[in-house]
Amino acid sequence: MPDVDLLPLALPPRWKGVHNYLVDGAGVDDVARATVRALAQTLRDVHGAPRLCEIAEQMRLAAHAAEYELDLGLSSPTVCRPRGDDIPTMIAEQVASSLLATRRAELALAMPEQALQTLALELVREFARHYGFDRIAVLLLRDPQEHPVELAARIDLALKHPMVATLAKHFAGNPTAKNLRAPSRPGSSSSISLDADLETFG
Amino acid sequence: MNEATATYWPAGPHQPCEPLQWGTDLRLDDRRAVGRLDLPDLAADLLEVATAIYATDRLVPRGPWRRRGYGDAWRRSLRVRIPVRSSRLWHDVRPHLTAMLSWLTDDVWTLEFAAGQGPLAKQQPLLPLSPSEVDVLLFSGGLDSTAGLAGDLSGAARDIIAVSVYTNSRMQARQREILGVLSRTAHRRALPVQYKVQLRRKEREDSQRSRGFLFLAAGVASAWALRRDRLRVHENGIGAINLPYLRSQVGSQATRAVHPRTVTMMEQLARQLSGRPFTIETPHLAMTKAELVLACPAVADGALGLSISCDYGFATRIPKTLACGACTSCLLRRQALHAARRSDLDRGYRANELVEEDRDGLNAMLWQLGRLRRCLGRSDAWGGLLAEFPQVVCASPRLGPESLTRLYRAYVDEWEDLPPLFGISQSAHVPAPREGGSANAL
Repeated sequence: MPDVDLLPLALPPRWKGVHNYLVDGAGVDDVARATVRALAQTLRDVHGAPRLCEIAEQMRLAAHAAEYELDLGLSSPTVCRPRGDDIPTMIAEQVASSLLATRRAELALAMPEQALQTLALELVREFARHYGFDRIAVLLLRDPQEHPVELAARIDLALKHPMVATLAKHFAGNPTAKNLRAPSRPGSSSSISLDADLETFG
Repeated sequence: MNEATATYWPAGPHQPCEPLQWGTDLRLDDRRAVGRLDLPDLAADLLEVATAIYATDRLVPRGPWRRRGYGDAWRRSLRVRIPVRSSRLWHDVRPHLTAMLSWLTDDVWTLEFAAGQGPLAKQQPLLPLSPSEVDVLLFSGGLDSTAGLAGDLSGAARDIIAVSVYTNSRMQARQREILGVLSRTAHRRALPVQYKVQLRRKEREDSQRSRGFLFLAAGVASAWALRRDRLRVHENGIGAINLPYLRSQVGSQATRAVHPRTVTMMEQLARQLSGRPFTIETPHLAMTKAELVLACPAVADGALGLSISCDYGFATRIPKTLACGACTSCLLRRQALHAARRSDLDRGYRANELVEEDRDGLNAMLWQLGRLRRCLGRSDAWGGLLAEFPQVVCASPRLGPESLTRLYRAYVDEWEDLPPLFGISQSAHVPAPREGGSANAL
């Protein structure tokens, strides 16, 4: 019983720059810098996720109560999302559900600010994939020489860059993303491990 | 006063309305049904409600195409008023039906019911069937329902009523042809009950996300007419759950026509309406499409070859038009046939080789495949699946974490042998290294 799946591939203008860097085989610093610029623009355009703090606290409390699933409109068949509940909020809810599924024990011990920072970081990365990288990937894979596993690794590196973590920190303090700007280039890009994200949060 | 005309609001719930005249604007016809059923009032209401909703869905356009890609122009506010024989009953189920339609279409629905009735009239059945003699099955003419029906027929103790909805004569003819072939190879008959739904106005929206409701409604209504309390729906788990290929897909942009939650909600609607138990069986939900094909008896190969899986195959309405071979539905079919070692049936496409401009569907599938491979490689595979595809939680009430994890592992494994089929370089399929569990610490 097939129905046509819609595959959104249109790239917002700023993301075309990220696409071009990836096509040109640019280094991780350049890709990350283009990414945070595109992300900041995207966050401003969609007015951020105004309910970010509320969702983070819901997530933390659900983890504390040992609720395996967070009922954020995904698990209940009767939930009818009201019109105007925008796409960024929906994405934020999904990211919160994912975090709860995978890092519940850690979230249960987290302070509210830590939970917010964690959600903000994962959300910024998810925005990057939603508005940018997943669309870019399909376009790049039109070239038979492009390698999906390598491409995924390059994208992961860019998203683990400290500049992305810094942007997420700013976003956590400014959920509506008003006047949100991309962070300036860091002096060093050597610390791109997973833990580096959290070091950035201090 | 009894009403006989449905009404819809083409420009929004607070703008002027337009009539949907049965027979003139919209046709719902069961005259072609071999077993022409004596539909009870409730069944007739259900079919007419589903048809009016489907018509509204097709007549009101979503936002500009480009903006749909960002999600914000995808949703609509739709209002429709439908005459029914039991308006109080429909008023009672309205919250549930509204929630189901919102899940299926991503739209906000305002449903109104008035006393009246549509075009379906009481009639004497042409082919009387007693309830103990038949099973009822939903049949679209696609690979899954054909393979499922063939499997059911091979061990059937009763004849099977195959319920279809068709919107053009090509679809009707192909469904009949497949049923004929299957009946010739089985001890029992597959009898068609086909409903013709025809919109006689220019369709302004082609996403038709309410079509799944129309198909299921036809199945439930037919089962009620035959005094059966169950309906079988054959659909593989990968296609039914239909996880988004890309993160940029929001909500029902990845269609949910036979999603486990849709099936559960339809069961609940049938129970609420009738006040009696009703079960929709989905026997292949835990299987991949290839596993479904493998379970199909070899004598059904002729029928499998006639089935059409293409998103555009029936929609063209042009005789002898071939399936595209490149849409995600065609690609899943082709992947399944090869993985099931039935590559001889992988034919009849406009182009067997994918050219560059046809590869976006395949690239999206490969991208999803890479994500699946990565998350299933984690020590906590279910946690990984939930983290990468939170939408999978919607299927978990009907299919547990273990079954879902096995399903997606099997699907990923099936792709390993397929790269040459689609001209993919083998190196693109090198499995990603296994990750550990949760790496981050707060």
